[in-house]
Amino acid sequence: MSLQNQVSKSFNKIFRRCFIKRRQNDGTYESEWQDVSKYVKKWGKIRREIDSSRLSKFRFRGMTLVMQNEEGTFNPWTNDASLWFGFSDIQRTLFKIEAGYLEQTQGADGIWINTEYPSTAEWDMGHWDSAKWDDQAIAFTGIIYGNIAISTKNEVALPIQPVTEVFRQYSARNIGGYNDSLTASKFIELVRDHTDGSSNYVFRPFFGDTTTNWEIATTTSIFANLNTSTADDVRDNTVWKVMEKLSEAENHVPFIGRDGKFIFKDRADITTTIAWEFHGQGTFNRTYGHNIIDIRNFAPKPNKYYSRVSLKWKDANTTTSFEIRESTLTVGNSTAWIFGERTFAFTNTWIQTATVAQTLAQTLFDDYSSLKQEINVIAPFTPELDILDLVSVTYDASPTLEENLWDVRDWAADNTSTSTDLIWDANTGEALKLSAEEFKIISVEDDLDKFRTIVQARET
Amino acid sequence: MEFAKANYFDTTTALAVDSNTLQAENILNRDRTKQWSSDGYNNDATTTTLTISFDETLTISRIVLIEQNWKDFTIFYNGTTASTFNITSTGSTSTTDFSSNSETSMYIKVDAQACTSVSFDITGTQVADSEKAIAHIALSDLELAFTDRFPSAPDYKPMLIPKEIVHRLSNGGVKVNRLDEKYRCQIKLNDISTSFRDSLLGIYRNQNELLFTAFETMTGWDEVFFQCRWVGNFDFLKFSDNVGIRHKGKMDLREVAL
Repeated sequence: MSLQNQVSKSFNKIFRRCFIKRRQNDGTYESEWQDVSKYVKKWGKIRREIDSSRLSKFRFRGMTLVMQNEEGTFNPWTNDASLWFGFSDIQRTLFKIEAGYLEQTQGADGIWINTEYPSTAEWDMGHWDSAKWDDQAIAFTGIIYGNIAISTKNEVALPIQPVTEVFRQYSARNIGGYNDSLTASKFIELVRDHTDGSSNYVFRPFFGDTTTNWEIATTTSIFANLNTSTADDVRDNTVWKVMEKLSEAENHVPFIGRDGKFIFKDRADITTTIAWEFHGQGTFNRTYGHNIIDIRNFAPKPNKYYSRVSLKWKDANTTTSFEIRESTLTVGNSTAWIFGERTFAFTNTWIQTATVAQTLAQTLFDDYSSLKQEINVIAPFTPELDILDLVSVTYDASPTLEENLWDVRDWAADNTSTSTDLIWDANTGEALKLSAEEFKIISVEDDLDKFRTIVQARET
Repeated sequence: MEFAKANYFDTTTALAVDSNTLQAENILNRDRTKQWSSDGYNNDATTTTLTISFDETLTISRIVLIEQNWKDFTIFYNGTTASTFNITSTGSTSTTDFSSNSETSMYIKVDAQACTSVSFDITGTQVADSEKAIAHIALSDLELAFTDRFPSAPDYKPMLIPKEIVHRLSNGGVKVNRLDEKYRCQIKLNDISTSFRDSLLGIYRNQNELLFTAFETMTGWDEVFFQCRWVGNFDFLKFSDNVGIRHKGKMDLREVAL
């Protein structure tokens, strides 16, 4: 069995769990996750997106869970009915959600085997050792942060923020180790290794307390503007703001994987082979089954078409401060003529060399100077999908070839070719026809209440 | 058909097992597919022991075993292997010392016994030399037996209610995502005595969780068994005859969350 098989089945046992890790009074997190699933009344949605609504904008949205609070379980930590009584404040409590499919089989010996999907390995230690769930089906890792109000409804809306929030809540000037040869990847390593001065890591506790949960692609451009903690570009910025600017300057993305790993990598697809296949009406696949609930929209996106990219990478208002890439407008088949001239202008004075600026402008121009299609697919819960994954979509409502408006049915007026007069278009199906079209995921939303995944993807 | 008190075994700290302690909490879970199974005891010559201990002395007259694979096992109380329970149910043995059990689930009625602990010594399994496994154990005492009147077949409506999410896929087919399932039972009773009516009223007003089973039997048990609450009205105050000495009404029993 595989996750693909599970999603393709017409019947599944499923599971949803959520856990907290509270801070102890000494500031460290408790060692074990506490299961609070039984208090959940409404699970909410998990959403991750990149360039979905605006170019170069990374968004990792929070979620809100509604918890039953009949007994004051989610009251403030000073209340002795609270789960946090004896611990530190509820704010910035670590939070984790696991969800997936459950394969249940009973052997001849009368023993049930429960295998969870997604799983890292089917024949893992979970089948043979004492641990019940070795595999992790983590859907989201975050922190509890925000207003938590109690009301007479005896329920609490628990605001959960992605762990990127901890970067927003820390000033870049407090990071130690700035120097004259700082690269983007080195800066993120400084963040990873930053301590409070007493050997206590500031950020690692939010990422499993291990360096292996930081996947940092090495970069080489040196950012001279980050040479000291009092530098203009450091002093008044948060750690997240610095990461965003560096990412833009390097054409990289900083994001949190669903398993809670921090990832800093280039914007290329995570996989060069298809990570998942979607199959809908009129198609069948033995591995993936029929796994499209609906295609909400499929259209070219003129609002993401740019005939011109203008990057200002120096402060001075001179032509050498700009790197511009643009299409030539000719009256004819040029895209600029067809769609009009549109300029994507942005400023990033953190870029250090003309070569980097040229590469960045060219890369963006290559990606956005042609009109590309985007698709919005609603599928059963598909827990392994992540942003930048490469997927294919097959949907063919028509049992025969696409209808052709210019066929003989519509226009057969010539009496000389009567043999073709009675050709009828297929009268079933829909207008949509996709044959293993490839897309790169730019937004994933897991709706845990409806147990479905909504994917926004862009043509590769 | 009877109500028994809520399961006395309600915390993992009460349970001691020889192996696989991380799975021990599964025995509290009424999901029959989540079992505790031994680790390293897949030999019919090797005995493994589960012991459930109480903070106080409790009277036990009902022992419920769900989804187990035990063939040769003994249930005894207060730590003395000789102290087996006397079974009042009809079955293969008169005490809780089984040597050739073939049932996977059993509702065992025993003579009421004051206990500080109950132990299960399991030696043989129904498929020889398997790990010993069980999904759920309930230890309890009778609360109220339906001795006055049983419902007629149409008036007894047990059902399993799933919590599930159904997707309608793009070609119209469905995909069912099931989270869990819980029992619900609606029972109508006609012509019951005032004293039985009063007993039901006592249960209704106490609003304690109770164990319900319809056919309390050790062999061929249908496993309709769940910890429940009485939801909705108490309408056995109605009379079923003109004389006003017999009553009728209905109850709605729903399984509680774990």
